[in-house]
Amino acid sequence: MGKKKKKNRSRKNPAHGPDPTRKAREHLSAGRFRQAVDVYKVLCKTDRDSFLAPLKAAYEGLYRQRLEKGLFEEAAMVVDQLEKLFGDSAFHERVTLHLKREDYPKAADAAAKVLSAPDRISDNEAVTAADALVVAFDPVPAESALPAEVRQDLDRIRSALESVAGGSRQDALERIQPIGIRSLFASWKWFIKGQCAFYGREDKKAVAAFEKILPDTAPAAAAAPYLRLLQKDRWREAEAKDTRLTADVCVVAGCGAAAEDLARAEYLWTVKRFRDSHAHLRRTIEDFPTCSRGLARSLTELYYNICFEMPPKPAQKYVEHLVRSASAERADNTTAQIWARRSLALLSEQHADFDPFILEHWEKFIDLYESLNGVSPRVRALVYGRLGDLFAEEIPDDNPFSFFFFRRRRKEPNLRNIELARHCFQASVDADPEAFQPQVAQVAFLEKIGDTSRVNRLLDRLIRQFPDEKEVLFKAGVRCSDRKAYVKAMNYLERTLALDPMDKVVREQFILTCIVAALQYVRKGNPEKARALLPRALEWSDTHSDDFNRGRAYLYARWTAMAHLLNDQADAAQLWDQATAHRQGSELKLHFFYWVVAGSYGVARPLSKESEAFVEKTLKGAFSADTALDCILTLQYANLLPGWISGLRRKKDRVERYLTRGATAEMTRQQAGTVVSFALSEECSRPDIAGAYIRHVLKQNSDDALFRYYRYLARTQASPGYGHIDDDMHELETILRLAREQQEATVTLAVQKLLREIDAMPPPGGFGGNPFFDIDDDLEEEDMEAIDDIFSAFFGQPPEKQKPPKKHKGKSGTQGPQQLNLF
Amino acid sequence: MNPYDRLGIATDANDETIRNAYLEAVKRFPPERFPEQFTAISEAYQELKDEDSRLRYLLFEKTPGVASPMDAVKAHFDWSDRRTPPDFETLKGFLRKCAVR
Repeated sequence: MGKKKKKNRSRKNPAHGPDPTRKAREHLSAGRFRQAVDVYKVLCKTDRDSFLAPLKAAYEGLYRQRLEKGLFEEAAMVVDQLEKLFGDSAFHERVTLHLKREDYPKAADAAAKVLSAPDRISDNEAVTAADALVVAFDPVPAESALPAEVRQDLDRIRSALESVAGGSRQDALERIQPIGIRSLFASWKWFIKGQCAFYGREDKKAVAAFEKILPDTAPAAAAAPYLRLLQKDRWREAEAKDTRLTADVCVVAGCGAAAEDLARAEYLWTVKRFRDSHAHLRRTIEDFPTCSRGLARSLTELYYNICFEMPPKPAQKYVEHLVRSASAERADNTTAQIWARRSLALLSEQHADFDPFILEHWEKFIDLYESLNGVSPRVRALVYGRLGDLFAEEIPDDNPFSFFFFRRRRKEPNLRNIELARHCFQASVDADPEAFQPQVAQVAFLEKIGDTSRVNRLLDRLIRQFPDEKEVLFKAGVRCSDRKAYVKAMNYLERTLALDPMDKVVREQFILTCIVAALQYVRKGNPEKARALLPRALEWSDTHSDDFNRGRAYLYARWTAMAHLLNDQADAAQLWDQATAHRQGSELKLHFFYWVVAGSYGVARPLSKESEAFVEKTLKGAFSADTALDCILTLQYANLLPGWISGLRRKKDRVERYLTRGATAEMTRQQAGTVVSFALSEECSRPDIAGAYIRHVLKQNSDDALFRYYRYLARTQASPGYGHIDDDMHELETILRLAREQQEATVTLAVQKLLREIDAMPPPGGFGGNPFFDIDDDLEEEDMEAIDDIFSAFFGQPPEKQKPPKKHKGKSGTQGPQQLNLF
Repeated sequence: MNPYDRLGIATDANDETIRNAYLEAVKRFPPERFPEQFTAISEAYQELKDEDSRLRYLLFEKTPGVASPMDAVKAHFDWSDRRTPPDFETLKGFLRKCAVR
């Protein structure tokens, strides 16, 4: 027989203790409503009048707590207690309870009872009851004690809502018009007005109406998604976690069928569970992913392109999930497979995967695509064309200010993967032989790698196939000009100009071809043909241009030189008059230009003496920035001309002496920059000229990024090598900061490159000094070139001697950039 | 938002249909009054104006277009020229849920 347990009287009595009143208050304020009820029940036995009201508050709190937790049965029991203790004042709680249980007839019944005694309820309780009547949508029994005006307004609201749903906005507005602002249904009236404005696309009116709704009411909750939709900003993270609001917005936006699924997907997306979000939509939305239009298409593009904005590892995992998900057993998963494969192929490009793998991914994609859509030559051609472009990318090498450095410019381009590029361009052409673009792309690639014979053959074929394509005709014109087939070249270029007369590049190429052809005629002793080309060149020149190639004055100057070559001094004099008459720039520039081309063409010195004298006289005169720039431009142009120009070296010296006088003269920053840029280039033999101009500009603004960069370059040139790396780094970092602030993009790029190069340099011990320094055994040839340059800077490799020019034999190769291909 | 929906055309529309849709859209959103929409329409047209452009868009376009699923919903809503209210039953269900918030 067990021991009897002693009754713990203190535990059974919740009011036990020194101050039960305080304890009860603490329970109530802390939300411990069950405990508060227990204590107040005991206290009511001693003093009902004092403790009845807090007991009611405790019960109401308990009721709300149970309701929020979805414990409706317990909530109903609490309401029963409330009714027992306080009579029909518990009807308000019953209203909410029945609504939560979706028992709308009972909710309406309870609400009608609440509203039949309006003097005994608060305004809030009355509004809640009115809301319940509206959403019950059940007819109120005739015997109900609901006041007549409440019944009337209720009917108006319900029928107006039905009209809105049926698209009869005007009817809805008429029905609610009699409802007054003091009505229990005033907020519903504003809600319906807001809805009518919303569906009538009167957004400002809609917002104004919705904002008049009382807060914490059913119409306020109903208006929230409308208001959110009308706001222009993006969906916020906090909102995404409110799946209820998200789903409501979808309903209002017309995506009601997928509202819950979209809300869930949005939530998962917001907490960065992208794979789960995608998987959820795959499970729940039938046409996702899709190639058709609509919301599903926008979602498809979102989910299948987001990987390109992720860091590499998460992106890889995500795409692997897309591929796995698409491979899951499902009859209609080919579209998903295509999208997943596409993402995988594009991502492999972005992550610079192994080239054959990239090709393999894309070829798998093509196979899949064609399995769904049939053979598609265009898709094949486009994909292979893109791969060709990718593999033919030039690996960047040169500093934008490379002419400041003594590096040799590469002769052949350094392409990513020539063999694969060749294969892909050919595959692109083979896939769609009738298409124009793949063939043009192939030609451009072959031009890049210098396969001229194949280029010419392909161009001939292209012209036969596409006789009216501007790009083809232009390329053919340029190639014929390179092959010295000038008549053919001019023919092609004129056909190109007929298609697009305004294209400056084509016009310039045509003019240059005319010049070269005319010179050939001159050398062959055919003056008529040479002369006949001038009007053709003039036709495409620019009347008001000061450009050496396209300006009319300079064309006349060239033909003047040609007339001298033909010993036709009278014609030469006439042509020179025309040159002077059409002059747009300075007289010095025209004379200097004439002297240069006359020298280049081989005109006897006495015949250009007048121009030479003009130039000499100007250079002896007072310094002018405009004159300096004209001289620099002409000298730079002269460097592009082939052949030896007698006296050019002396002229350069004269110009350089002239420039030394101008360091403190009045000029714009841009003009000073041009002079410094020239002084620091290989064309100038006196880089010290730059120093004076740099100091002058920096005296006015010591933070000028461009000129600080020039100063750095000048100092590096003067003492080559990285002697004081820390100082260099500090200066370059300062220049970089200033360049960014001053938006000097070219300086920014150049300095960033320099900083990277300095970072990548070997330690001060060099290659031989530090036995623990590992030399990379598999240096490629281009790396050896770079090392050579660094060494030459250290050990002062003597500059290359200028070879004396060969005597002109009638034929000379082209020099300089292709577009200035002159004879 | 995808360019087909911006121009309101099917994905199998031909060049002429697309051009006509573009011109209609420009009339609806002239640049002086709707600069953002005009820009979006012009970009959509460039992406779809001929078959090669359309294929390139399908194969190689990498921008997600929107920032999240709900931004896609909002974008479609903002662009739509029709707003249809939900049917009465859907509206009833929606309002009932709002009443218990």
